[in-house]
Amino acid sequence: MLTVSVYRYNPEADEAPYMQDFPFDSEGKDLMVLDVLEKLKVIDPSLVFRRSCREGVCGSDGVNISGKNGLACITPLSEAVRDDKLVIRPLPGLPVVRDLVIDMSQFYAQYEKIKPYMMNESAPPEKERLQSQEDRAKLDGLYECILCACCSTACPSFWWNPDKFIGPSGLLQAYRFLADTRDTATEERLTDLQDPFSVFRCHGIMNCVQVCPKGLNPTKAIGHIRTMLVKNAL
Amino acid sequence: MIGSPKSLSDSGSFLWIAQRVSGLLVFFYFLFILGILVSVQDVTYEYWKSIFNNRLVQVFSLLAIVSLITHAWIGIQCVISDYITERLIGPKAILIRRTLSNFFGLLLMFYLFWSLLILWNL
Repeated sequence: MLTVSVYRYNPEADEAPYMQDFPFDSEGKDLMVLDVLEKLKVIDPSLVFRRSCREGVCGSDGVNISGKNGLACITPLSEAVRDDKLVIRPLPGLPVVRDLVIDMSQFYAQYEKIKPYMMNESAPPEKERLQSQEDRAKLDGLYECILCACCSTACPSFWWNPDKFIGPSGLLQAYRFLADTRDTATEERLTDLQDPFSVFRCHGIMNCVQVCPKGLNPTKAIGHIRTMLVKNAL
Repeated sequence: MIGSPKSLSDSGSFLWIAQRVSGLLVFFYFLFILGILVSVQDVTYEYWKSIFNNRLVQVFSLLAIVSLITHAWIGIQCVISDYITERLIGPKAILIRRTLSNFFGLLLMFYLFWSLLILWNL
């Protein structure tokens, strides 16, 4: 028998957030944390959380599981339970809307800042802009980000300055377009990132790498952006 | 060439380079002093004086002091702007940040002039 401790907060009814304990029998199965949440919702329909694809693709169900950010749908109990206890909290650092649902406006505002779309002033070819296989390979490890926010909400620099520091997720995406040979707005993109906060507030502690459910490496991408900025400044 | 920042303090690249270059200079100065302490058996006041009367050592010391001040200034600014934010403690953060920034600025200037005074009076 497990004890599942869940963060509860309904701003319309509760004065302050609290942890609610549920006894839970997994019947010996190595369920995913999302399965547990679904079963708890049957017991208590007022429990609120986001979910959609339930297979680690949509990025909706990012939560803090026993102290580590991750996707509930692809985190098995065997990885998350410690001393017969599972603790589920919302992703840290962003305002809580209700229970496990956070307000991600600030996260998306930073994503919008890096202009996450191809910019190329030249006339588009008849079919599509082609790339060599080598150039395409440069985007591997960058384009796979699903914007679940597990990395940015694990980053102290993002907690402290979410309005100024782009955050690991946004910067991984920024480098995805800086590294794309079909994009011609490199100078414009670097100009937008050259202030002391947007990129340089990364202190390289690599929390983002540790928690990314897709196994991506935002710190490495940030290092590449920093090198581009410094080379341009010299 | 990317668009120019309004001032050097608005350029993350400049601050990043300045912090690393100043850090390296301080490190080499530390090695220099350590080298003297390890290699010379009796380090007397007269010996220190003769070392610091050398023009090259004076220039190196001056560079090391300016580097240390620069390094500390950038680091302190970084810590202040990381921890003392409006988001964390409300609008009073602006005043606290400016006060601390000015205090440390004056303190570092004091250290700079004090160090120069010591160097020149040798």
